[in-house]
Amino acid sequence: MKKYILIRILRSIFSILVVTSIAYMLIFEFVPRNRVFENDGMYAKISNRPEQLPLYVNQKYEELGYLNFSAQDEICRDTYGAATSAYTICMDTTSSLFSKAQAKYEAKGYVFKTIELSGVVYATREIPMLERLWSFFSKMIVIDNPNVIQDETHPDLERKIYIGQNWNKTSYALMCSGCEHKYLVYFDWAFPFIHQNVVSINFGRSMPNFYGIPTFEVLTMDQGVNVLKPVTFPSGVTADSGVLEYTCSYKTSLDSLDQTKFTDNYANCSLNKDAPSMMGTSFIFGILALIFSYLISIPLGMYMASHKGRAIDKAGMTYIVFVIAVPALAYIYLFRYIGSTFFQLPESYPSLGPNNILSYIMPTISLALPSIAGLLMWTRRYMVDQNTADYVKFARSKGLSEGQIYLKHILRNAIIPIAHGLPGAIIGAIGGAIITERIYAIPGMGKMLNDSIRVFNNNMVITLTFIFTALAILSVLLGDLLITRIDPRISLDDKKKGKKKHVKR
Amino acid sequence: MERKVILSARDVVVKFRVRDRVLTAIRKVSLDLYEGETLAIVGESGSGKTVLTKTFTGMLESNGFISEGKIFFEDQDLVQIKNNKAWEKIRGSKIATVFQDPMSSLNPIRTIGTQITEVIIKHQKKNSKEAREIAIDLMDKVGIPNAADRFNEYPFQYSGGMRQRIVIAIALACRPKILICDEPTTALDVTIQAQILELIKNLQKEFGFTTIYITHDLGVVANVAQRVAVMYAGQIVEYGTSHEIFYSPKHPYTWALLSSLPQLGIKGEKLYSIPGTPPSLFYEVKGDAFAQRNPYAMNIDFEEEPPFFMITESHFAKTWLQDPRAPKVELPSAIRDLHATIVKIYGKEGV
Amino acid sequence: MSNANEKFQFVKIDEFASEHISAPHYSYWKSVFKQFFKSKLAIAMLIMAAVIFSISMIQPLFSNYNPMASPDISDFSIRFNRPNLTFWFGTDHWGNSLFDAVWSGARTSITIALLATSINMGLGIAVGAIWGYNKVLDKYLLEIYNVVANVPFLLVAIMLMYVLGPGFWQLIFVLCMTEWLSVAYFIRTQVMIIRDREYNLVSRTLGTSAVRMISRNILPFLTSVIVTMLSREIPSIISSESFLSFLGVGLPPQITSLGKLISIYITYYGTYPYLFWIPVAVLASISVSFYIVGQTFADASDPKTHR
Repeated sequence: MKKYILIRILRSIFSILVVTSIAYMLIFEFVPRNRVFENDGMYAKISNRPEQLPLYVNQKYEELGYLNFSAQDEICRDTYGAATSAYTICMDTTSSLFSKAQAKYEAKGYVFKTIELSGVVYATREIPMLERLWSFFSKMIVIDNPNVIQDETHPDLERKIYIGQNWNKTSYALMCSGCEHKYLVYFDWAFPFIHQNVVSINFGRSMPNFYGIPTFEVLTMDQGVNVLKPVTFPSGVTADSGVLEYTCSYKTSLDSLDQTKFTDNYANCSLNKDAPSMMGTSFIFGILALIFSYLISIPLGMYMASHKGRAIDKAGMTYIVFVIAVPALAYIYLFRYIGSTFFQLPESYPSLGPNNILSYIMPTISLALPSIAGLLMWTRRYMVDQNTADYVKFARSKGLSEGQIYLKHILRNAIIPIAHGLPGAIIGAIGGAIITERIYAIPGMGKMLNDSIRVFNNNMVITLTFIFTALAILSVLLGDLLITRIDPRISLDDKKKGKKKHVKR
Repeated sequence: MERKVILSARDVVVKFRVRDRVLTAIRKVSLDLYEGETLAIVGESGSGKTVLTKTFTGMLESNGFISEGKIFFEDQDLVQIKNNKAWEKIRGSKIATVFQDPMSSLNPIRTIGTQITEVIIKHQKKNSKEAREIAIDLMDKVGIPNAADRFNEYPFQYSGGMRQRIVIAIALACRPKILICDEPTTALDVTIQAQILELIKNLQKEFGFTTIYITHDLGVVANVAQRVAVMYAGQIVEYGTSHEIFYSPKHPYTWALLSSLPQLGIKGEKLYSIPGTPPSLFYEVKGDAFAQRNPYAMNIDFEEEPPFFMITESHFAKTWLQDPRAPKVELPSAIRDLHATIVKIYGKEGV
Repeated sequence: MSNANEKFQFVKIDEFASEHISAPHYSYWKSVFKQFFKSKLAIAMLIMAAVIFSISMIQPLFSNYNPMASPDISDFSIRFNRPNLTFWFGTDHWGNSLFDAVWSGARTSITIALLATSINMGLGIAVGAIWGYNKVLDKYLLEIYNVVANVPFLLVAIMLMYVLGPGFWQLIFVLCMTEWLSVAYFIRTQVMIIRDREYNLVSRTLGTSAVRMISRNILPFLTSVIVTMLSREIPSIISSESFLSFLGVGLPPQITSLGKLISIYITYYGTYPYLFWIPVAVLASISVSFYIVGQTFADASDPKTHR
């Protein structure tokens, strides 16, 4: 059993990686790379100074992973060292030292270009797709360690891992000096109570929206308005602030405000805001919708199966037909119209905001509508089969009451379609989220996907593809494991060898 | 010896609604069941044998209904019982059924043990500990080795023969008065068949219930039955002791059935089979239902339905051939000396 | 009495008559159509589907509708007219007749749906039938299927459209890209189930070639299954196309579809609701009518429902 689970998990991870790689390759190969600047404010500003433009553009391309870029000064510094006399000579592009440097670079595959207006030379090297893919994956998992920070202004930065206390001195944590994050492992009252900053996932920085912020952080940072609470900073100062101490990471240069609060360079902290993050929002809706669909479909499906042909059954079947036949776009809008006209529910999520329960009702139901249809149909069909199953007839002939038959036999078997339907429901919720978030203007991952596509934010698109795919594939894995746990007929590690045999006579 | 009648069916008619049409599956059947006996109901597929016994436990499909007749059991008319709740007192505790396929009779995702104890808890009002003891004892009686260990296993861990034993144990858990066995050995290996029949016989001796066997296998009938009722097209056409039915049958259909025994086949010659198929019960049958396929049919068979003619106190046949006005007919040659033929083939005493 | 004696005369049995099975004569396709036309709802939907289909194909040929231009950019009085006798569906933000816009959009949506469905079904059935039949192929294709099938459709569609850019054929490609494999998988499972049924084992033992077996034994059985699938594919594709267009990753600006219209007119949801609801109603009607016709036909082609 354990071996099988391990294999399934590895396979799932493999699938996720394959799909993400394909997505990565398609996007970076076919989407015109210059389109990312169409909505870039910085680009607009720098276009006023056309001699700076190629440097900016290529720098961004390098960040995005398309190519290696070196401007003239970097070429010389790299070949001859910084602040040496050779370096100074090299900066003259007509010198032989420069030509030598150029030759060295060209041998590695670089192409040299000159900016006409300023005479500055730079070199670029297109990174081949496989190499790009490799660097994408190798940068994906980042393990924080005391050697990460390389700050020239702080060459003697202490590098150690130690146990320390938080600002309030209320708990201990594993801390670090020299790592990206100050707190490596810490405890607080938020689920899941133990948290870590040691391992994180990196997909690059978001661009052009949420400029420069790592994509994962964009999705997981709080949204909304700052929440201020009295905080005692390490310097002893107490002030109303939204700073979340455990998120503090290394900041190279502290401004005056930072210096009044912090005693070290770990001053880059996230702020506490009142609305959940994009990921959080999507998850909240997803889970609510899932619970809601199960709560409705399973009992209703069972009821419909035992009252086959009667009013409720007919009504349920009509609903299923309606959801299948009418395009989702149409019925979600219709539903929203009914909700807002007859029940005064808000037509968009931001109008009443995340802290008002009314905002959650309609989007959750809209998200659940298609899953309900699917689950309902499956449950009903399964239950109808069970109702006519031989073992039920036998149970009835034993003299058990209908109620007992239901509870002890049919209900137990009902867990099978429930587990079976789980991956489908989750996958459906992901697709549904993209539409529902757009219709109700919910700031979640679905909306982010849509927005990212409009502005050609490739890194973000890849990040979201990865997250959604991972969710989908893991839900399938979960569904499978659940079924094998429940059905005693399936013995996982014997799938290939055939059933385990007891001694039979 | 006057034996007590424990169940008496009188003029029962059962119909089914099938897609806007009505099928009459049982066309006026009367049957008396005596305490402690073993009755076999034989007939080909579609003759109505299973449907008849379903009326005794109220297990007719939802599109079936008893349109006429009475079934007397323990001072009650079973036909009058309309709701499931009332049937619960009878099913399992008074009248139990063993079905053909033991695999599909058991719930695959529950343990064997719970499927036995739930019956005991329900009908005998014992708690789970007591029920468990009774169940293990029963499992022993039906021949399950290491019963206590195997109590918590699942159906798929048992072989076919074992499962049928469990089904029998469940059926007998509440000591019913009547046990209906619907083709209990058809789905099992030949070697196991004999064991199961033997088991039921022994249990009947020990517990004292009445058994009804439904089968199309005359071999099984010969093995277990004291009385035999032959059904055709929704009616009982002949009934009597098994001796009478095997050695002096009077209805042409019974002759045809017996002649079809493959053991009677002579090497090199064609095996006997009854030509044609039973009539459609969607339409009303005029006269004798077997007339069309009856090599001994007479004109009157196509016009009037024959009544039961008494041959002995225990032997009755529903055929015009028994009418004093009908020509005398001898048993077909193949079955004339059935006893001797069987002895010759098997080298042992017959029925 | 001679009468009584006559009654007791033996009769020679007619062996032929006794073999007669007294069930009425049965013809498969006749029963299918009889069963189909029994449903008044199906007939009504069939008519509705036919009417919508005809109008969508014919009307745009005469309408000179251009989604990117206004018939008279300076005349504001032609804009936002509610439905009236001149403009049956009213006019939109540019003064274009909504009637023209809707049928032009319907034509695109229906054409895309039919094209994509035909490709999916054709490819899916062909590959699925062979896949189900051939055990070796099954091993490999199953692996691929397991990796690919679990990714949510909308995600793939959006991503592919992002990569390929807007366009009519790009949209069709994307709608097919993901779905045909699911169709193939479903057919493969059905084929595997009946492949091992006795009548096929018999054919195989008798040496029937694989092609003949697939086309004569297996595919006809699948008619009911295939038609059921079809009745769902078309509404599903219409739905997917409508949301892709709605999300802005579908068609280029010169081509309009119902989904696109809905996404454009959504801004007028509060002010000029007819602009939004009429295309929605037309979209729903197309989808529902195709679905009901398909489902009824599928039920009718299942021999178990015949009398």
